[in-house]
Amino acid sequence: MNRTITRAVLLCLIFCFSVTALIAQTIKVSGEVVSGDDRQPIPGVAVRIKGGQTGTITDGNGRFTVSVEPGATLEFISLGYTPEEKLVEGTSFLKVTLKVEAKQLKEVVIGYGKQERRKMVGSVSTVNSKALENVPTASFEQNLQGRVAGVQLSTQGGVVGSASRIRIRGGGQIGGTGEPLFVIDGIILDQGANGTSDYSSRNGPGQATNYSALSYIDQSDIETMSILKDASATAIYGARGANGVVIITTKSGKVGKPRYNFNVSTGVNSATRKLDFLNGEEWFSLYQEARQNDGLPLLGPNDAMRINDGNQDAQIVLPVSQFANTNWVDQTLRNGIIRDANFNVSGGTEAQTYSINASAYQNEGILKGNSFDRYAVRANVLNKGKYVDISYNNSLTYVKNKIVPVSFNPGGFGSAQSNSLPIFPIYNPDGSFFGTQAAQSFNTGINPVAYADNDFRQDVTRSLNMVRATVNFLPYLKTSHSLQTDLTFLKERFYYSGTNRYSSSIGNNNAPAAEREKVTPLPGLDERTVYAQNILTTHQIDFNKTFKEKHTITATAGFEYNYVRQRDNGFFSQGNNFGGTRGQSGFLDPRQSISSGNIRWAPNADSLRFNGSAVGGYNSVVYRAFNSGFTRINYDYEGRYLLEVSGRMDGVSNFGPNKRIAPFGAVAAGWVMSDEKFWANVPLLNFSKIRVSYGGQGGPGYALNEWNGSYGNGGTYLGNPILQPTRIPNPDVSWSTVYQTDISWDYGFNKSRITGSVTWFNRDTRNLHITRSFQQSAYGYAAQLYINDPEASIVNRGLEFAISSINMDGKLRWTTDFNITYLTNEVKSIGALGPDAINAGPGDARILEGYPQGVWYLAEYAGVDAQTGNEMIYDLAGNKILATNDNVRNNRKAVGNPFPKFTGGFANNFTYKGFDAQILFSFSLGGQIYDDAAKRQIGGYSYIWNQRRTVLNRWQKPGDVTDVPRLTTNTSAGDWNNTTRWLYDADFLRLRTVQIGYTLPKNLTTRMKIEKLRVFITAHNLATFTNYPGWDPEVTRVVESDPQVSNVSNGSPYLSTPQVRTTTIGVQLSF
Amino acid sequence: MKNIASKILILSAFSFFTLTSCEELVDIKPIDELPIGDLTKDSINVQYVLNGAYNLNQGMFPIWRTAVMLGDDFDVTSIALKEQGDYQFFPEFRFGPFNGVSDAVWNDGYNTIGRTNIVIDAVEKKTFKASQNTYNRLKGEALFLRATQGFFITQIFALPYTSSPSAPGMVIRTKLLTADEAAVPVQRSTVAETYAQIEADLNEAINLLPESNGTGVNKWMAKAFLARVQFNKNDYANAYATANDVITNGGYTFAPVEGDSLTPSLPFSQSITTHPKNVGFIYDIINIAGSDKSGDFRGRFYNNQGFNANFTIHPDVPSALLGDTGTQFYKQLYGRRNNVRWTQKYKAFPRNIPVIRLVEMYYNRAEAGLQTGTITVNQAIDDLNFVRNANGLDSLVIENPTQAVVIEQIRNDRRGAMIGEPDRLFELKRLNATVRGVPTTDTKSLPKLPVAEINGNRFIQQN
Repeated sequence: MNRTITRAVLLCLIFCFSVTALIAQTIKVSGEVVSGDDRQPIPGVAVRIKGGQTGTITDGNGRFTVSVEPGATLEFISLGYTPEEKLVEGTSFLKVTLKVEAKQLKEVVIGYGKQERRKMVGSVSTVNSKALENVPTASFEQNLQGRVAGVQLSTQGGVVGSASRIRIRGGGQIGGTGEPLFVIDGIILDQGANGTSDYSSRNGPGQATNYSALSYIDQSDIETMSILKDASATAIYGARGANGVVIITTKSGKVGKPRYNFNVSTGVNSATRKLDFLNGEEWFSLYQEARQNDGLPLLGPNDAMRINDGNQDAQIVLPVSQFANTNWVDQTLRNGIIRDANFNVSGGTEAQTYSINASAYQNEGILKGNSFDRYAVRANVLNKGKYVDISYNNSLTYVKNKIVPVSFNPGGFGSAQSNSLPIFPIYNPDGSFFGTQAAQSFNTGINPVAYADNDFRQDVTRSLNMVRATVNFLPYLKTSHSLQTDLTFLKERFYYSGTNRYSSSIGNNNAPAAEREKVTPLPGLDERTVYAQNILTTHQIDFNKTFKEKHTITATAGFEYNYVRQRDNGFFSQGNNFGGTRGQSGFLDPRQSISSGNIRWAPNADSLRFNGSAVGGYNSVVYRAFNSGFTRINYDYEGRYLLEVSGRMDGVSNFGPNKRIAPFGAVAAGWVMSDEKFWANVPLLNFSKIRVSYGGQGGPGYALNEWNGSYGNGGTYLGNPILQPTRIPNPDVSWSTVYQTDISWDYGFNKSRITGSVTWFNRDTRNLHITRSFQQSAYGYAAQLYINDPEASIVNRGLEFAISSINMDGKLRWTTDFNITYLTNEVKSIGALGPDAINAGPGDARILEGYPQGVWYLAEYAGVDAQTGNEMIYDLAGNKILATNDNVRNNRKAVGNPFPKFTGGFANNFTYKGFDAQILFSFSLGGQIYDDAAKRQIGGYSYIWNQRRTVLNRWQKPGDVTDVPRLTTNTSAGDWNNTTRWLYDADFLRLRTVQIGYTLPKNLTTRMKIEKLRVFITAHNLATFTNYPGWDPEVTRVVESDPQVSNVSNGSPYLSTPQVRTTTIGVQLSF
Repeated sequence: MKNIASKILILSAFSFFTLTSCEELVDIKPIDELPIGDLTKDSINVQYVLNGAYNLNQGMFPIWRTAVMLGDDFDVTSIALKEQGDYQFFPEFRFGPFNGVSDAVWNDGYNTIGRTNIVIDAVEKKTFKASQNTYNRLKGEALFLRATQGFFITQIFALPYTSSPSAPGMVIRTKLLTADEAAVPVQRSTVAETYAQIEADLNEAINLLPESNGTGVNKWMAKAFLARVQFNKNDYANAYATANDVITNGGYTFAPVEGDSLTPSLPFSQSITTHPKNVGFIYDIINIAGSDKSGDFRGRFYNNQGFNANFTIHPDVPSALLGDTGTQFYKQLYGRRNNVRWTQKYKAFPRNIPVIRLVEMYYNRAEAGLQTGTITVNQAIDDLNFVRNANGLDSLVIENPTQAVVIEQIRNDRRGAMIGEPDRLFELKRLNATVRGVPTTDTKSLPKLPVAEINGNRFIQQN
């Protein structure tokens, strides 16, 4: 449709040109056409003489020159803008501002096509490149937060390049990933165990972080993002559509002279918050108090302290006289530098358009040692032929990612706020690192400064490619045929420095005599390479015709085949990566080069026990195939009555043989009331559309071979082998189904200066894919079963409200976008499963009937007994009882809600003369967070972890009224103490983005022979208003390789990091 | 050009209809796993599955430990409770679904049963080729193991048959389940139904098993176990007949006490891997070098005072039961310290540990015979004295013995001979006795079903 209009206009113009030459007595008029939205020049605008047949089009700078008769009127027409007319009255230069057309008229990218927003019946929100420009995020999806109704995003905190958790219209998945499907230029990104595969190692030092595969895509490549939310919009993605779909379209060229764009910025990252921890003196004084409380003698100045960190056999002995005062959090945080530069050239002719991007992005992050560098190139080219259009989009990205351990991974920011006690010095008196070799036992990971000697990195090369041929048979019929590839090559190298990995032979009489009584550094090396291919081929037929000027039918049908394969292989130094006694580790001789050939057993290894290869290796393969047919048929009567039927038949290799192929579909209808004759008299409300959709899509859940039964070795009995089943076969393992109803009203007031929509939705996820327990008596030998539970159902219901307004449109232009979503999530049914059946473990989050998914199952905290200082809970009958492991376990109840009731965002854009400003707030209300580390950081692990300063309010003597119980050296409470004491409101209002820019006046830039020069300053995560006492109310647990943990325990962060506040300044230059 | 275009159109339409209906494109067989369908295609594999069931059945210490602590031989108050985790719940029967001690009984028990069901299913469906004898033997062994685990689970988690036959018993599992079947909640059967299933399994095993069977179970072991089951139901007529059959025809004798040079003549002195019939052991936990199930048992059994597998005998256990210091009964004790007696019958010698032994058959025969009037009181006393003499105790002389007096004496002797063994709990339950103030007929005396069971069925009847 779009193309037909453009062609008609162009043909018209060519004709006009030929006529113009024949006309005499004309004057030359030139001018510039700019957008009312951002005051930027618009290339390709048709400039026509009203009533005549002559005209021209604007060039890449929005400039035009045309010869007209005096007194003529010029028409300015461009798709997406309201046409404008100007009278030529002796002026030789015209400045024309085109208003952006009411949003309903714009075209929107949807699955396998585009639709006019006015005629759309599905719920699709869009975010355009403006939202991504000059925002210092490493990964583009982070910019969805606050911008789109119904989309909730949480992060893992300050690890640069880490993945976000995105939920469109709430949760609903348990065993399968809850992340939406991402589609980039027709390439359906593979969804691995966690969502969108990033292929990172799940057992290395980066185990506690999921990296974002989307961060391998340069955000400056992106033109628009369409967020498909309802059944009607997502049904065409069938078995992968249930969590919603995000379609990304990369930039394409526009007809005109080459337009060069440079964009350079630099800035600094800092932590959004720093929690206060005890200093060394305070920690020791509280430790003494705990000893006193426990009846233990106090440590004197000549005593030494022996620390057993509880997790490993670490034994640190530190004389009291050598106690230090180290702020380990400060030792691991920093202000990192960020640099971003990108270059784009685009342009073209009617026969060919192009857009070429190149960018470099370097982000140091806030954690020492952490960095993320990305270098990307992209070329998008479209060749238009008589019948056949060929387009090719190619991109190549290289990412260098330096990983640091966080959370439960030892040695990093997680250690700095836990087992790195403030009394520990960084160095021993002899200058060596404290807590490593001096421990003369296992490395503990308690010295994050020493840990920085390790070097963990990922090198990723990713190439996204699409080649498409579109055959235009008839004006209303075309086919397109494309091949898409997404190839990723990832190399991980984990080098464990000899500082932190070593072996002690002290006391080992079996060690070679020369090695006895020595601590030997044992550097280790693990390397892993991944080659991942995601190959799709898509073939579709598009039909679009209007009959009798009233009945329009648009239809799309096609098939798609998608094959994904991931091959891993690697090698590693044998033995414990934390080093070990008696030389049971393979090691890399520090005097030699870092290669697998130089890995050998430690010199003090016991040759009787360790005589095999010191290098271990592995390989693995993961694969899945999708074979699909899809269709969508739209009918409309005068654009007023709208109908849509869409669906997809999907075959998925990872589903069980009985349930491998299934249909998914949706129906939708719409009514543009404002197009009715009777509407002519309705004041103000110039646009009104009601639309309704219903349908079912599949929820993913395709870990490899879940359906397949397998067996393996189970040890021996009397020296004879034992075989046992390792997985129960389930040929019925398949998708979960989301049945979704959507009722929306789209509106436009005051000539569409105010537009928006209101939506009610109901998403019922049934046949949930769960890794669940069954009665132990059923098998005994297999603890878990992959099943689609016919009795399990989760319902998300909500209201979305979005409004965009042009508040002022004069010299000062002010626009506002506001959205808010109300959401309830409830597990409607879970069959006979007990409360601990879907025990995702962390934070005691559960799936319980009648409560939100991931609700906490905790004992209710009853404060501290003022007489004894003991921690109390309420039993189920409401009596205060002592908090013991047994009492806590037996008096748990459902409490809290990990899904905020309200989420949303509020964006304001201003332009005044050369100035522009953008301010975005996001907010969340009515949700809770269970701070899974607080139970250890506020008293629970007072002997072996550093403590938050809140612990200073502890109970000290009878009569003290406080929330912090008396201190003890017994650390067991830190493990079992799951009470409501650690459940906090997670409400926040965050000033997410502020950007202020100034564009130099035209006359100045023209003199400089450039088109545009803009300077700007951007601040990201500038301020957060919250009562949450932990690191960050937006940082949740997303890090587990098991999607079930991410779907159930996301509201229970553990030793998280703060977010990053970034301030950048930059320059934009176009010519 | 139009020609090419129409070709593309035709090709697209054709591909659309062919490819989208093609399941083969998505039927990818796993290349990195052993398909479970192959597990029972071979008789040796089936044997290997059965080995797993044996391995669990022989790793019986959770059953033993729980049964002993639920009974009254063990002075559960003597241990330092704070140090002992789940043991702290036994003195006052404060059980919860998280109790690790009884949890292991349930889990290991059903783990064994699950494996036996694979074997039974394979034999019944003849998924592998073998001689009829092999089929019989494999199925018979599996049935025996299933029945014994069922009996232990019922004794620990259910009320006595003799008081509450219609109370909840075990969750009966006799089939190899598909994943969908496993997800269906199943309730507990009654105690009577449970016993019926156990007896049916043992009777079938008796028909299938050979007279002797190397390290595996044989017909006589199944019969002896059946005698135990019948006796615990107070089904005296059958209990007498079966026990009498084992004693008369089983060929078991007591070991010549003085001839055992390896150890002071303890009751648990078996040191031979296969099952000789002269040591009074009928079914036992086997020790062989490198695969010491009994050593594992001792190591994980209750430790006290720095000794493996030692525990304090409750002060209420009458000394008279154990005779004087020269008797075998007495030698089960380690000694007295501060007036406290300790067992040494599980002392850390690498020896077999009997699960069912000949003495029990004598006591069962004597009491069941008397209860049914099949034998006279003197015949019963003969059985008692036979055991006493073999264990170094003097013969009993009872003036004008009545049935009641002799039965009392049988029960006393039984307790002395099998002190610290699970048999005591079985007796307490059979006789509906009270332990630490809680009647064995009260569900308070029972451990809770573990959380692993509740997880799959929160509506299951909890104790």
